[in-house]
Amino acid sequence: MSAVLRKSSFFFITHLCTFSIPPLAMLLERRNRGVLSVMALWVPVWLSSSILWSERQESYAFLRTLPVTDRQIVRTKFGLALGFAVTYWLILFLFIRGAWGSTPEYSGYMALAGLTCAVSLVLAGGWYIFSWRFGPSVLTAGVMAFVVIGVLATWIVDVRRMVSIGGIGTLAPRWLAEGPWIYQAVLFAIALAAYYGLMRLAVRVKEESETF
Amino acid sequence: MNPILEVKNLTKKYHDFTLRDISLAIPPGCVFGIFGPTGAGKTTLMKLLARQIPANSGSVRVFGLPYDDREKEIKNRIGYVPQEPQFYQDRSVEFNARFAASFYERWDGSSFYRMLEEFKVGREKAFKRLSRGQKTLFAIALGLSHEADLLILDEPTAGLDIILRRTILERLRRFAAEEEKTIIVASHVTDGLEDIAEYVNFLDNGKMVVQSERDELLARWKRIHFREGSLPPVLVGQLVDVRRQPFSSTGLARDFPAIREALEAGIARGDVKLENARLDDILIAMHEGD
Repeated sequence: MSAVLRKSSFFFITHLCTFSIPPLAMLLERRNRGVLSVMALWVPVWLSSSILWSERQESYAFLRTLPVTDRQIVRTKFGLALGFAVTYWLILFLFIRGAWGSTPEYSGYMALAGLTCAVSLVLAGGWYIFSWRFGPSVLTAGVMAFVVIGVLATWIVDVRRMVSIGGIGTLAPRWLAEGPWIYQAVLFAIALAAYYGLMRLAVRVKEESETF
Repeated sequence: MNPILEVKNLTKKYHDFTLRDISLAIPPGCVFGIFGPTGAGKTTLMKLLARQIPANSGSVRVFGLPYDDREKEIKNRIGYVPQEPQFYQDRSVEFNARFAASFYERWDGSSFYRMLEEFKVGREKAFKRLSRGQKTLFAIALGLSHEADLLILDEPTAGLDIILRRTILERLRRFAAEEEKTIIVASHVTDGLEDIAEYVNFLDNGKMVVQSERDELLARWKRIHFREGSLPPVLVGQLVDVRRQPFSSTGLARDFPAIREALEAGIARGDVKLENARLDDILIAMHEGD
């Protein structure tokens, strides 16, 4: 299975680099941190795009001829997406700590990062099922539509205005931003449970799939 | 002897086609041919045998093992060559080979690369740049290099020139000659394959209409050449695929042993001549008879 993992992780790694390097440069140069404040919103888009590109390059017809079961493939793919969702959260955590560690906005940004990473995880599971049920071309249309909707939603929210009145972190629910840390842990646990449920469903979908 | 592959009441339904109630018991160490016209269900059956698609009902056991619990173990011992091999199209032949090799418990790399050279398939070439024939050759080389005990081949000679076709048939013949190695081959043409297939099965419109040993089938069917008027009309009426010509007509006898006696006088006079039927003719006659 390491061959599948190595091959699939290429797009996840390249996406992660494009996600983290420009903000890192900004952070190090101590330039305007406004862009950093919206990074959390982009995690679902970046993770979805990683899945899209890795799935478009996948050849399940080939994999089916090899001594590997659909269950193993599903677990590998889900494990990979989980690993990268956690990595995105860690990167966000480091950036947010570096940029707002001692400010009142810190908890709001962290809550938003936790929320978007949890949503991304569940979304990732959904994309896999969607792809295995309807094929990568339908996945392309789905992810593209999601990206367009994401951009429009960000525009509607008007990031600049949000930044000027206290940052995008205010998008996170108050109960999550101001509540104890256990709330975020519970949120992550719920996302993980949903993800596990989706993985079980994905095994069934993959085994019944004839969409290569 | 236990069958190497056993299929019971296998059914696969699509909205416009159904492969119905297929049962097979394939003995080890043979070449098992599945023939039939385009759209008969051969590819669907081969995919089911190699667990590429799920069945609606029925069971497949390979090496006595069920796919449900032992898929990985089974696939380690089979080589499947699909009609249109799908690999990583943008990657090189070398990448695809290494990728596949990493999954198998047994892998004979030197034999694999020797075959690639023999088949003139460049290692560094992107897979999508290979011709259809080369893709099939690559898939066959892959199947032969992990020391499989069972090869499942779907139209393996399609798209190959006559030289490569002969090379492949010779390879398959050698593989089958090894102890306990089995080949299941599906094709819409019998050209060349009838010589190596010991069992002949005819699939038509999703149903298995003939299951027989090749020699038994060829003994039952004979092509008869006869002078017009030399055979009683009742006998001519029993022949199929009758082609009338001015001097000598021909027809296929579907149960030659049953009419042998009635033909003997004509054979003695020289009015009737016998010839072994070609597998193609038999299959066409069966298809049209249905």
